Amino acid sequence: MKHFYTKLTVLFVLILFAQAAIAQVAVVTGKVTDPTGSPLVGVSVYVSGNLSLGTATDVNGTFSLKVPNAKGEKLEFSFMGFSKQTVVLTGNNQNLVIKMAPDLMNLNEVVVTGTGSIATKKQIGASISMLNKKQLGDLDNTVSVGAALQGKIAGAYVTRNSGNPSGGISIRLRGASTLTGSSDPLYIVDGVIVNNESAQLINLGGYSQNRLVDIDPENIDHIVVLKGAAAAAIYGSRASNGVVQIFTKRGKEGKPMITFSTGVNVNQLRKEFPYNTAQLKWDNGVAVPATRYNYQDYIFQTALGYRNSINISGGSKKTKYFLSASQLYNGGIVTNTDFDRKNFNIRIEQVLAKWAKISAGTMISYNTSSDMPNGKNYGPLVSLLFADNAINPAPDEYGNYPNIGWMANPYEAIDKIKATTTNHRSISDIQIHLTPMKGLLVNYVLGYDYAYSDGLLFIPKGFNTQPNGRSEKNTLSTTMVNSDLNISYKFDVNEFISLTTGIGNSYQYQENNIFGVINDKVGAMDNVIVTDPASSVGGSDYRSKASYWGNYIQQSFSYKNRIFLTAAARIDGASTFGENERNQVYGKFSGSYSISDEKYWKKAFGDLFDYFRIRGAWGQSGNLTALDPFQIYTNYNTLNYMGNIGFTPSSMEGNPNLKPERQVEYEFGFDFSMFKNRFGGEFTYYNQNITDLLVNRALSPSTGYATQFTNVGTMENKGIEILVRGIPIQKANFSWEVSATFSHNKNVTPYIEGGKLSLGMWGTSIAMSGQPLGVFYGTYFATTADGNLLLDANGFVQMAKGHYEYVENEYGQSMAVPVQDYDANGQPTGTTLRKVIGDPNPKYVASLINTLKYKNFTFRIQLDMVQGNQVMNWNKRMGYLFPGGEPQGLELTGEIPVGSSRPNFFIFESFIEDGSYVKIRDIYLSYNLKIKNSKSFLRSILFSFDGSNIASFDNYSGPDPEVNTEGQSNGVRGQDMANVPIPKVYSFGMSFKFR
Amino acid sequence: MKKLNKLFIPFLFATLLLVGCEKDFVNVNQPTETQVLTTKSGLLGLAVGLNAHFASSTYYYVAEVPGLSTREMGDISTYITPAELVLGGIPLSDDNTGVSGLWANLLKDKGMAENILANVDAVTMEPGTKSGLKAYAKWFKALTLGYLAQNFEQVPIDNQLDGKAQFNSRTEVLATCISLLESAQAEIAAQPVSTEFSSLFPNLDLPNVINAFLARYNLFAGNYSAAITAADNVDLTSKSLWEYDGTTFKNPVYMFAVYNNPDTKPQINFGLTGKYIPEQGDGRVDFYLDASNPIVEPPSVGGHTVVDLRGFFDSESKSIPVYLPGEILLIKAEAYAQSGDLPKAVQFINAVREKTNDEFGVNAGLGPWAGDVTNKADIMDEIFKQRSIELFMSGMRLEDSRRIHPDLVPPVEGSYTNERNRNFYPYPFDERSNNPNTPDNPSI
Repeated sequence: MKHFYTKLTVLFVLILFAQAAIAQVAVVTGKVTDPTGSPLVGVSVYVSGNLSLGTATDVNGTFSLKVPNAKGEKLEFSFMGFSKQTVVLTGNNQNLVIKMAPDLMNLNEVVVTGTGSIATKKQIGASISMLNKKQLGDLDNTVSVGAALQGKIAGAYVTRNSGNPSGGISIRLRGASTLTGSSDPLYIVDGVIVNNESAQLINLGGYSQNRLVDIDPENIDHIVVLKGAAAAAIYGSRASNGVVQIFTKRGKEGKPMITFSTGVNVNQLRKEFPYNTAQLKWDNGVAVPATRYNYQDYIFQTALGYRNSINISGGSKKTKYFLSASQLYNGGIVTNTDFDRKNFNIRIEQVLAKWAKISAGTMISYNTSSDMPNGKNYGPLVSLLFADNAINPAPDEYGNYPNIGWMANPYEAIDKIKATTTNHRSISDIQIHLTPMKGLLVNYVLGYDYAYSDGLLFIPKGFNTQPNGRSEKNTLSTTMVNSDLNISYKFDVNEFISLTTGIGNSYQYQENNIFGVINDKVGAMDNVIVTDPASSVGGSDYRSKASYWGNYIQQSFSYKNRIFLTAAARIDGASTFGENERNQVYGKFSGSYSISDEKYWKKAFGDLFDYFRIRGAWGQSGNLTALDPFQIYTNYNTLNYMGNIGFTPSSMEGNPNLKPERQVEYEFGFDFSMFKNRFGGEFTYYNQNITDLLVNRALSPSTGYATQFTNVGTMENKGIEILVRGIPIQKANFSWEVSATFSHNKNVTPYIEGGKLSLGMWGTSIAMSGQPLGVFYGTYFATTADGNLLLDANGFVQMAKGHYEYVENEYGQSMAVPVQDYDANGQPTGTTLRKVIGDPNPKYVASLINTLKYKNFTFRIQLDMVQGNQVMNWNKRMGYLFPGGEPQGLELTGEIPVGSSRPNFFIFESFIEDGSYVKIRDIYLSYNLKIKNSKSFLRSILFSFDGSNIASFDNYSGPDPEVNTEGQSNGVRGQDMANVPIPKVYSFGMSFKFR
Repeated sequence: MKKLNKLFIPFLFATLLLVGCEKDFVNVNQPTETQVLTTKSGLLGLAVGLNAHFASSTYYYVAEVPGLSTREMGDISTYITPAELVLGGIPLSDDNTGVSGLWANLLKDKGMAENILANVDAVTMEPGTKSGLKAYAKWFKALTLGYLAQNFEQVPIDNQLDGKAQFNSRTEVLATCISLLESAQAEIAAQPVSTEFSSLFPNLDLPNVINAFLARYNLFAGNYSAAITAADNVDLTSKSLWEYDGTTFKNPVYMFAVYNNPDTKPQINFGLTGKYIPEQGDGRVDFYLDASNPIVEPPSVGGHTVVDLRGFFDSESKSIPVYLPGEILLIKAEAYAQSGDLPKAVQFINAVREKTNDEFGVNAGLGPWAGDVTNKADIMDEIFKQRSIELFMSGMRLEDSRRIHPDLVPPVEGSYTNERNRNFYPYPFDERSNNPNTPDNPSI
């Protein structure tokens, strides 16, 4: 022990007096530029394998570093977006000129794969997508992380589910992978597994935020996306849907850099919902003049937003810091909705010794969203579907809102309903990085994520459809702790072969607490909105805990730095599964081969290719988070019936033998870069098979239960993902970059116990054996034997009727096939038939981003394309029957026959629409004013203008086909009912840099 | 390497201790099945839960589904479930949520009763509590079987967890109902029910309801003298109630037929036509119905005239009788008529017609029946009429129509006007697709 303290003292002395104490110091200076000769600022320059010896380039791209015993040491230059360069030092004072080559495909970027051994993308066989700051685009004007990813990752299908100012976003990497849990990826922020719950605390008709909205995108430095089981195997089974790793900004050595950003934005409805515009109404079968109101004039508004943020970063060689504070206000296009967020971030990194570094950070977010219920249940947009817009909903001279029927008066809803969610969030981490001896790396992360959300609803007394009023308060607090230890040891057998062994342990603990109070008799004072617990009529108290754990061992082999092979095995477990099944073993294998390093390749192609590599991976994974705690038991609900405590079994029968779903995926592909890093691409084919799918299957009711989770089902995803980047023009003053992604995924659930499973939206979104997840199911048009529409005596469409025939599929399930029957007059007869009438899954998703730079101007345009999907448009359906609908107006004006719309209402096929679109997702123009005077405190001002979602080319009759009424639901996709459309947004921002 | 050991290993242990590695967590929200089924408080709680679930959830379907098929109710919405039920016939699909709700809820309740019966003997408790629990569970199992048999041609007498329950014929089911009730009677005769048990159900007169249901099922089974004996044993002044607190547990008929612009409402004249239309001055019309705001339905859902509901159903907290004294009188009337004792039959018809002192206020207050007292068919029609009015919205009319008018054949294409538009309901899709023993659907 004495020896230890002596060493420690020496260590501290070394840290404090490192430079002074050591002789034979070489001074290495130099300048780092991009290929066009422009200086690169902030390039990290460090001596390989020595954490305490490094610096970064200054505003002129220059650096100066004193290197003791420099001879033979490797000096490394790395900068996001460029290939790493290494220079072997001579031992004398040197002045270097380094021209960094762009790394178009980020092949040499360091990725953290969870193994602790920091690998470059080149060494990994599985497909990994990286987005650096430049590729992420204009984060300043982006509200959430999800939106920043849209269109930028091959293999990802990103959907904005709602146009609310803090609206939720769904991301599917290589398709859905479960029926039960969520198919959204695992999010990791600076090593902390973060909660991305989409809890609907108060009934907003399906709409909910996801907790990712707590994170301020301005603080993001870069994002790494791991797709598929092969990549996920290294993160364990928490990551069966892929992983999105978010790395926030870090301090850089040098004088403090202060950045102040500010901006304003305008949000507008891009396209109205169609409605009845005939200035007529029916009076005993005769169309008589009437005033038709456009309720949307009142419901929608042009909303403003603004933001301000400041960050300070800097540090010495040993200590670096990054501090930021930001504020964002964004108005919603639905009147009286908005989102207000405040964020604080701190990150400090400290080099403790040559072999030890510690990093700690914390992020705090406090945000409030004011929403309006819409979607499936009630609220202003819902009223739009059902109300007769010949009624003026404005309040009378005494302030009374007219009762417009069973649906809420939209004006009254806008003016009176208060629905807010307040979120408190903190994410903290401590990371320790040790290199105690050559080749040995130890990484430890302790992460803590706490989220507290408080949902409030208040409807005052006297509200037409809720005469007694209502108030609700529901809270959810989620605590997540993760501890991840990774150790790796790299051993060079000889100059060609090196071996890396990794082991690791991870443990994650999660605790959820739900508490709520409901009151259905409240006062009429608009400001007194608290829910009086003493007179509550309902509420909830639910507490759960769960833990997930894993251990792994991984062995990598590399030959000549061009062939890489990795094999790994994991044992993962989750407390939510049965004792006997909870620990599962998963394996993975991957390899990559840089063929372009081979002599024969160089002989054949010369310098044409910068590199070309092929890769392949195979991996297994589970889905540990599919089940909620206690779902393996038959649980009884406690109730208080007339003063006595009673128990009733829940409708779900327990199943103690449940095991995690098992996913096996293989993928192969290639990456290349050619023409001196001017053109590059990635291509991947993947094939994912999920077995033991957890299905909450229907039971025969004669069991006494309705459903039971059982491992009975399979799911498949097959697809290709392509990323192409090119720089057609690269000159000192002008450059043009193109980036394009293409993803095709074919999802199918070949086998579902029971053949068919309703997923929601009144049984219209289903899972069915042999069909993609979430297909639409319902009644359809009667057709003649040759497939033409079979019309009734009035010439109107009608519903298909007949009987079902049962056909056995390859799994021996008897599947009902509808067969139309006709009576003697050739008209439909028999029972009402239903079938699969649409599919919300797109055939392909593609994006094209063009970036043009002229001197200090940057122009970027992003087009997003989604093709071959359908949307179930319930807004259209209601219009067929209810008087405010567009077809009702056409009947009034005589443009279509009277009564011809009504039959469509009952035929679900009539409101299935093509959801394909091409959108101008983003147009961005900026000018960076650089201050020439190097003594000036103000270094630059960036002026930016951004237009988002400004045009959509589609055939959809509603405002926007990019929509989902059930929010981030896993299986219910592409449903549109009274959903707030995504607004078009124009933003203007300025960013000042001081140093 | 020494450096590693000395610095790193303690640090590693420290962090692992900090996080811990807990892997088993107790559910603090809900008791498990084992806890409920192996303890006295669990089984008594299950008995309370059974009552609560039947009264608030199951009764919803028991009253509404056959009510729509037999004209008690009309449909004023565009929803598919009531639209299919009000039309009936073959178009009524096997995944109609009304029919499947009726099926599933009754089977769930039956399962709860079976769980009590299967576990009660292994749990230590006072003899009077045990006898009460057993008698109660047997009565409840009989009740759920009975309501099932009223709506479905065949019914599984015993639930099966493996999903392959055997179906039994109507005769077997009714015989089981009767033997369960007789055995329940024997339980409480041998060991009087303790206060501990009876205090859980202060408004349930267990000996009386057992007799009332014995009378009901003996009548359905054609055991007329047994029906009369059981009916004679019913104390007509006793009241047993399904209760609602109006907040957590709401009167289910109120919820589907009164509350907040409902989809379905009672038809004018109880949906009766022709000779069954209530006579002038029948006090039960105003007791059950408020015809001051009639609505005519659109023709696409039948074009019926619907009115507002009163009776036991016009508030969310009103109690619903478990059975009505009038039913007991009409059971006697029908059993005597079927046994050939027509004067006795007419005597009990008149007892209902002239009633002014009903415990529940269901008072016709009419004069004696003016029909042909020697014509059995007319007497049976009068019994049908009296049952339809007296027992309005109690889920009885499909059974009554089928029993009293067996020759009526509902049209296969469905009907908005027939006295009934189905004889029995199709077996729900979930049963058919998961239980290989599900019989063929009835032809109508």
